[in-house]
Parts: sequence; structure tokens; C-alpha cells
Amino acid sequence: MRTLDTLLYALDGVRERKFRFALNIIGILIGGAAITSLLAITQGVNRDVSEQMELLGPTTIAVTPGGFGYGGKGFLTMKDMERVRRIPHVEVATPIISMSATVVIGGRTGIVSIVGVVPEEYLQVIKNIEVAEGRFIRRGDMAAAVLGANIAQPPGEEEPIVDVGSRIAVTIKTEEGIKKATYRVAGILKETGGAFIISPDDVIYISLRAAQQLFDMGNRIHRIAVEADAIENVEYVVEAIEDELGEGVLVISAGFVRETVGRITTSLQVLLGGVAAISLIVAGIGIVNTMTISVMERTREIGILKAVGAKNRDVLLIFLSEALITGLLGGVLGVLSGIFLGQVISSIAQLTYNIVLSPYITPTICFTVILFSSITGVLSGLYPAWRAANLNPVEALRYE
Amino acid sequence: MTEIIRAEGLVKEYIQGGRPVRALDGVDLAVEEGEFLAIMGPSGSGKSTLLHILGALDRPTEGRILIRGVDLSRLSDVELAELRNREIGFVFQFFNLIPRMDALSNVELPLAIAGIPREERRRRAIELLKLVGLGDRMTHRPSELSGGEQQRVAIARALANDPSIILCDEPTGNLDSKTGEEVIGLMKELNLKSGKTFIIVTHDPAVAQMTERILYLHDGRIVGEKRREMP
Repeated sequence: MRTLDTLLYALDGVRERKFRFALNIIGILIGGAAITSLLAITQGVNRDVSEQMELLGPTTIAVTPGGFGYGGKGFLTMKDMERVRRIPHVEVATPIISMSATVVIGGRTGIVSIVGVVPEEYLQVIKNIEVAEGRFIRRGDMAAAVLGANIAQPPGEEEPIVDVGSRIAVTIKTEEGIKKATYRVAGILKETGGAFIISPDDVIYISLRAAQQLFDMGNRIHRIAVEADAIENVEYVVEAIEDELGEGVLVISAGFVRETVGRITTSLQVLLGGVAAISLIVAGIGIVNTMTISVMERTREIGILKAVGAKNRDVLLIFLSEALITGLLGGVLGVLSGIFLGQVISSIAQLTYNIVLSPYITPTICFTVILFSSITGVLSGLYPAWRAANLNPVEALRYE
Repeated sequence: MTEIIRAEGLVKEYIQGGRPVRALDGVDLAVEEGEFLAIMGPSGSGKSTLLHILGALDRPTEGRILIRGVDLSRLSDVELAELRNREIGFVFQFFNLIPRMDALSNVELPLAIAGIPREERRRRAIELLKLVGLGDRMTHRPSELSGGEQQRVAIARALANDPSIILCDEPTGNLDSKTGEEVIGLMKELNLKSGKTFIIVTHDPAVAQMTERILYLHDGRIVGEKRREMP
């Protein structure tokens, strides 16, 4: 029998049992859709992180104190920074102070990160900062602040809630009590979509000196942002900083972050894909079941086929084709539904947790899902098809 | 005339309810090309078993069959399937058409299995359905056809690959006597016109009356033979 005729015959067979066929397809579809959407979301996270890393350049290195975070005991000092600055292949090393404060902007109160930087050095490291209005802070500014895009215009607002020139009030709690300061808005930044070390969209920048004064930091700083002179020297610089500052300091390069995120998303993909694959296996078992019933119901037809000269192989291929059609169609529909499902999941994540997930469908994902669905179909069809192929024709013809 | 089928010492045993049953018990048989032969016998006499073995659907436990001198016991399952496809046509009591397919597609089935291209298949099926008098019912499904019409479709299907042997298992068993006579008449006509060999298993004496030779089967043995000169 010709391949095309086998396929057409198989198609005719599934058409006769539309409802059952549809159920099998839905089974595969659910599995395929789950795999597609989950893979696409983790792929999206990976892509987003990589893109941000790309934006920063692969030569950026962050030095943070080990242990627990900025507000904790871990501090670096200006002396540490000077030591880092002397390491060969370090082009820029710049201090950063970053602490939360209660801020009143345009009549609204919220807790925001206040970041103190040395502007000209900082901008050399964090390259995607652009001013939308006004100017960036200057080294000597003691009462000027620059607002990230989301601070000036919180998500969901149609208009900025503050203008260049207006004032913001900052309140912090210290051991001595409450401390207040007022800054004039010198500039508002364009949206950057986030960055390594600090997300410029969600912070208020002031000068390092102003920050030292506000938070009473003395010689202490929270981080050092470092720029190596070339990609091939990043690893050397990272190791040199670790040697110089000793244990308890966390040195992270963009490449390291990308690698780590890549590892995490890959593990997530395997985990989530594996869970979703279980549903595909369940669908496969459903196919085994319904096809076995189909073969029994069609025993007589199989007998007829054999009486008119069909070989075991012809019968086997007819039933395997049915299984393949089920898997293939389920896979294709699964990918399409998965693309849709990915959008739904990311919308839900955005609405309920304010997490931005942008599913990224790659041809590899589509191809893999369709391939696996088809394989599931064929594997599931193997046993029933084998049974059909090996039916004794005389008994099959006698079957009522 | 040349001998087309030869069976020697055919024995067929199978297990039923845990006991061996001998359906055929040493059948010797020779059929000439172009014969129109009936096999008669009570139910359980082994008629259908014999027909299945002659048609290469089943293998005998002992003995051998030669079709045009070729020993079927030497053929593989694949070769037997090819033989069924090209050399043998079956007509059954319950027609055994595929219900979801129209008359044309049913007739095309053996041609499709033989790997004949679509257009040629269609042309041949139309030709055959016209030959059996169903030129105007070609796109009807079996459920839309009368018993006699269904059996005609089955005959057209049996003829599809122009086989030399047509094996019929109670072909009139499910038809009223008038329709049955018409169907046998059609077979006789095909036999005379194209020289195809017909072996008809039946217990209907009226059918047997139309054949040249009747073999009587009882308990798996041939117990008698009647030859008649046909007009």
C-alpha cells in the first residue's frame, strides 16, 4: 500500500470516530500546551535577563558585601574601593550607597530606594541611563535628586505625578530618631527596563556625598560598581577583587549572572517541562486505551483488509498513522494553545503579582513539542497497532 | 484444461474449549482452471475452513496446497498476502464491505493495497461496478444498498485485481431466493465470459444446481462428488 493511501485510509478511520479522536487530541493538546507555555515563559525570563546583561555590557562587575543585604552589618568602605581601583584592568570603580527611605512625592508617600552615586563614574558603568527631562545629578549636588521613570510616573498613572523643579521630602529612621531631608527634582530618567546591580527605573538618585550625609555613612558604602577594560579580563578582575577584599565579599559579573540565571531557568525548564510531560504521558495512555478498543471494534474490518490482501505491515501502518495523526494534530494545536496560555499566565502574573513575564516562543520549542506529541502518539499506537496487525484473518472475519 | 488448484491430504486441527477439533481430516482436491464448483455439506462439516485454506487465509495443520503449481506452504505470510491480493477474490455471506466507505472505495480497496495509482483505481472500480450492474449506485454506502446490491459490490471487489480464482462462502445465504439466483447468475456469467474459476461453498441446493461439479463434505472429509454437463 502506498504511504499516501495508508494515511488517507487512517484519516478516514479517525473521521469515523470523531468524538473519541477529539478526546485523544484534547489530551495531547493539554500536555503540549502546558509544555509550550511553561518553556516559553522560562525561555522569556532567560531572554529578558540576557538582554539586560547585553545592555550593560559584559564587562560590568558588582562588588557587594557578603551576608545579609544593604541594611545589615555588611558594609564596604571607601578604602576597599581604592584597593579595587588599583587592580590592573579595572577601568572604573565607583562607590554606591543604597538605602530605603520613606519619600513623599507629589502628595504620595511610599518606600523607595535612595541611591547615592558619583555621577560621572556611575554613568560610565551603567550605560543605559538616559535623562528624559532636566539633567542627571552632579557630583557636588547636595539638595538635588533625579527620579527613575517609575517613581516619577508610577505604572498605571497616565501623567507624571511630579515635575522637574518640584520638591520631594525624604524621611528616615535612625538610631537617634527621625531624620528629614528635602530635595529638589533636578531630572527625570527615561525608562530603562531594569539593569544589573540597581534598577534605575525604581530608585531616586542623589549624589554620593548627599547620601553619606543623609544616612550618616561616614566612610562606609554598600557596593562598588566596577568596569573591566575588556571582556577577556573580567574573570581576572573578579578573582583579583576576591583576593584583595577576602572572603565575605560577593563579586558578581554580568556573565556570572547570565550564567546563573541560565542555569536556573534551564533547571526550571526541565522541572516544569517534566511536570507538563506527565500530562502528555497520561494522554498517551488514553490513546493506548481508546485505540485498543478501536482495534477490537474494527476486528472485522481488519479481517476484510487481510482477506483482500493487506499485509500485516499495511495494517500496522494504518493504525500507527492514526496514532501519528492524533499526536501530530494534538501537538500542533497544543503549541497554538500554549502560545495563548503563555499570554494568559503572564497577564495573570502581571495583574496579581506585578511580575512581568514575557513568554518567548522559539521555533525549537514549537518543533520539540510537536515532535514529542507525535512520538507520544506513535508510541501509544504501537501496542494496539501491533495487535491489529497480528490478528488472525479467519478469526477476525468471524468476529461479530 | 490446466489444473489451477491442487490440495493434498489437508488436515486442519484447532483447539476449541481445550480440546483439539479436526475441522478437515485429509482432503484431496483438484480444480481445473475455469471450473464452476460447489462444495456442499452440513454446517460444521469444514466447508468454510477448506475455503479459507484454499484462499491462503489460513494454513493447514498437515498437507499442502498448490496454486498453479506453487506450494503455498513454502510462501511467507507476506507472499500469501500478495497472493490473496492478486490471484484470489473472496465473496462472503455477510458481504463484508467496509460500512463507512461507498461502493467505489470498497471496490478500490484491493487495488489500493496493490499500490495502483488513484486514477487508474477509480477507472477500474467504475468499470467493475458497471459490469455488476451498479453503474448508478457507485457513491452509495453499503447501508444504502439492498442485500443483492451489496453482494454485487462484493463481487466487483473480488474482481478488482483480475484474480483467476473467486472463492465464495455462502454467497446467497443472506439473500432471498430470487436475489440469490440473480447473484449466482452474475457469477456464472463472469465464469463463462472471463473463464475465472469459482468455488462456491453453499448449503443451498438451488445454488448447487447451477454448478458443473458438486463436492460433498462431511466431518472434514470429501464423501461424494457429482458432475454434470452444463448446457
